[in-house]
Amino acid sequence: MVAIHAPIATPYPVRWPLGLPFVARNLVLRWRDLLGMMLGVGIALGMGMTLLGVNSARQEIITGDFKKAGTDVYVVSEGGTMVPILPSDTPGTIKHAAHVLAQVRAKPNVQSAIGVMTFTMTRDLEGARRSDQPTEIMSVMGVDGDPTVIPNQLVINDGRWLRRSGEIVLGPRLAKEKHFAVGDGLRLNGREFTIVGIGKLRGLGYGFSGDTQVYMDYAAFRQRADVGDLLTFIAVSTSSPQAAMQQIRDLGSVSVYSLDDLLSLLDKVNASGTVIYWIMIVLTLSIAGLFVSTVLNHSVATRRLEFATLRAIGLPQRTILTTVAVEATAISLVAGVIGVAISLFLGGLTNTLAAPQFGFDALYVADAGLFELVFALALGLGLVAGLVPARRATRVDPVDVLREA
Amino acid sequence: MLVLNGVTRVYQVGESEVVALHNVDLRIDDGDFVSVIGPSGSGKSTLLQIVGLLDSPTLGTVELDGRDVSRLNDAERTHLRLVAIGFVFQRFHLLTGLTAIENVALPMEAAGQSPTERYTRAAALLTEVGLGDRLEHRPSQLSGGQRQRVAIARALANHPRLILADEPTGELHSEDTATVLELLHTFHARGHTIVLVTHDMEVAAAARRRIEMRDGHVRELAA
Repeated sequence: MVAIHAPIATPYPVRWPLGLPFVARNLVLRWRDLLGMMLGVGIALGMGMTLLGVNSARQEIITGDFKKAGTDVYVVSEGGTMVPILPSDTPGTIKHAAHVLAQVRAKPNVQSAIGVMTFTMTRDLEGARRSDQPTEIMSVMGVDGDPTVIPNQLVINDGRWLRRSGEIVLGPRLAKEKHFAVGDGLRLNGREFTIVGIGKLRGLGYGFSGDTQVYMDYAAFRQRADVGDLLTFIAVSTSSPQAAMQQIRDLGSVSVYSLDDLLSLLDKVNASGTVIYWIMIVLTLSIAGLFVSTVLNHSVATRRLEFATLRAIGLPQRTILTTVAVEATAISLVAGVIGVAISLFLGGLTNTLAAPQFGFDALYVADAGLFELVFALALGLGLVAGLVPARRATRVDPVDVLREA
Repeated sequence: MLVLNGVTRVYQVGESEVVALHNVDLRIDDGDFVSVIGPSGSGKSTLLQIVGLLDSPTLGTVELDGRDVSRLNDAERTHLRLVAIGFVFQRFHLLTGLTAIENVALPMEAAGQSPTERYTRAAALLTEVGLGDRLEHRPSQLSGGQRQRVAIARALANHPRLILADEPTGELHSEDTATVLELLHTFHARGHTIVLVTHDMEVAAAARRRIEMRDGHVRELAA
């Protein structure tokens, strides 16, 4: 027998989380059950976000130098293209280059212009060459004009830019791989050159090719490479690109690209890669959504008695619907945070360990906008994934379930 | 006052129909203590589910205080269950993740009471049923009798006039059975209407009125 007491009215101290609504308290109670799903979906999202970060870095590698360089207008031979899309696409060569370059420089809206021509030269090694020793070929860029007058066009890591015909500047990656330093000598096509700088010209080559060039004065280049009066393209700095483009176009026999044209072409080149990355993201999210839906469905099936009891004692359907939907939303939200953390961690590792091995500053770029987009997609997906189990939970018939129990 | 007028409940089982309740007329006045007895399959639980608005009759009406509640929609019936009816089940059906006080406070939360109000009342109810020192115990930390007392406290949470108890002593030892019946008597004495379904004649004898069910028909037994 128990003693039956009269009701007391002493206020009960409501401690956390008792004051929370049931749907929120349910999350606090069930966090251990949900943790596995949060981690699973979070890892999937982290992988997806990392892929996007790598794609952003890839785009940055390809377009970054063009964006940073002070060049506003690019000039190539008529029909040539700065960005190869088809295998047959090339910039071509500008004939009578000295004359064309002088004409471009003479245009009223042109502040400065430099012409470049790329060719290969053979490195001459000291002493007799063994018969089985391969010939070492280097890509050399002859530069006509002073790139130091165009803002951000020149990046010098060590030493200085060219002043005399017997001097060369080496791209940073080339210098690193071949173990050259400022002051070293390098013999190319029968002439000894002195390395006076380690650096590169931005936006004068597609992608990161500027890192692997040998830069040489144009006159010396023509002499050593034995090429005619030709240029691959001309980079122009101007305060009014549209006017300058029209004036240069009027010269005839050249094609003219603005920076925007160039970036648009580069985006086209990147488009297929970006689409593949997004397909992988959507697939990852879909698999994560199916995972959440399946596990929540199973959870609802095992909690039928709980939902039937809630229905029997008078909790409305919307409370039960919300309980399951909030679980799905919480899984997505926490998974999103875990995903960002994993992505930043993997991206940091990639940039610290892998990027220097390949001569890049970064192989992963964290993009807040993309993270927000993936976050929003994951949240939407969580809601959709939770909808079916939530509806199923509300359809639990207390009469059937309580009878079975 | 609860009145059943010609209530018939037919279930479809595969191709065949099973008549669980057959043209039942029943009147339960405010303050009644009614026990419903009968063998398994006689329709006791179906009657309780219809009286408790968990199920609707195939034919006939159920009136609560003169209002026909048999054709209410799901949301309306759910709300009535919340505020007007308290359920006590044979197997307690407490939420295993919640403490005793949380289980008792849950219907009050659904009814819109503030946290302080509901937990204070839940603590008072649990103290009343002799579990003042078990407020924060989970069901797994309580004995069967204690769990049923928590369930009784939960049934009383929103001051319902009608308490429906479906075999509330079916899982209990004799001492716990006596405690539960004592509690039901106490709350009946305070004005609650009690309908008790049981197959145990001794338990049924605790009620003021006894109704026998057999093959879906009801028969009032002599007091």
